[in-house]
Amino acid sequence: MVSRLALAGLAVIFAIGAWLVAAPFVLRYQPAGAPWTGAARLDVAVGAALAAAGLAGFLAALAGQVRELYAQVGNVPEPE
Amino acid sequence: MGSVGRYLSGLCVAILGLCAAGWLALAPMAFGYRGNGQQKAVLTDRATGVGLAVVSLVTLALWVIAWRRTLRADGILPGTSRRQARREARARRRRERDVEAPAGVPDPARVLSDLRALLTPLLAEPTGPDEPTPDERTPDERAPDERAPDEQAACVPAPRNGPEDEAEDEPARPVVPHARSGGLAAMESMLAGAELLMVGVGEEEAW
Repeated sequence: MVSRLALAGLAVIFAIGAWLVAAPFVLRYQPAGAPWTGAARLDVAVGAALAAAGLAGFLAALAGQVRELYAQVGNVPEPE
Repeated sequence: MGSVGRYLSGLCVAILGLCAAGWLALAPMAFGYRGNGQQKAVLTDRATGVGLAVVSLVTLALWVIAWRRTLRADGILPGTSRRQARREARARRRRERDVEAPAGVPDPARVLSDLRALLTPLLAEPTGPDEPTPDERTPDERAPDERAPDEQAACVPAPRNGPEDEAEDEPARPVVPHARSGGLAAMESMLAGAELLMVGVGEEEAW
């Protein structure tokens, strides 16, 4: 249960990163076609880093969990 | 890398999220956002920073708990946490003290009840409140038929030689029973006194 919640936390971090990338365009403080403002540049950069890290962490944790499941199945004696 | 990598990656991402949240909260002040529509950006950054900080803290705590559980299950960490071990040691000490207490300091109420149970058979008076039982009278006071055979032989009256002996022919006077020293009431009062004394001692110790 705790592991699943922790995985969910990583997914939420990824979602926040994605939101930060999209926020300047969704909230229209970065007009389309205009040169990028400092706030938009910062939000997109931080959001992209956060989303990348969140996705990488999520996938790594998920891979670890799947590996553990495989190991558990390997330890179970096969039925005769 | 194994399961360690899994937990480490989770912890690293959570810490990175915390750093990003701090950066988002401070950036508007650091860069001095001005201009049209920048208020929206400030609000967005602050709100997202606060939310990200909360989510990152929760995620960090969850990964720490999950890792500790795994380490405990693998036997690397002790089976119980330090707080739990302290609580168990305290409970064990209390239990030991409870077991040792009856051997060391006797319980006053129990002593009194034991004393009462021991004294009650001694106070039983089947013949009456003031009359001594046949066993308590001297062989001379007992009727001849109550005496044991050897006592009867020992108490053969001496031959009467003179008239003064005739005076002894008067009918046997009733035996005046000896008043029991104490009796039931006295024992009860002694018990009550002992009880009072024990209560007093207990209060003194409590002071």
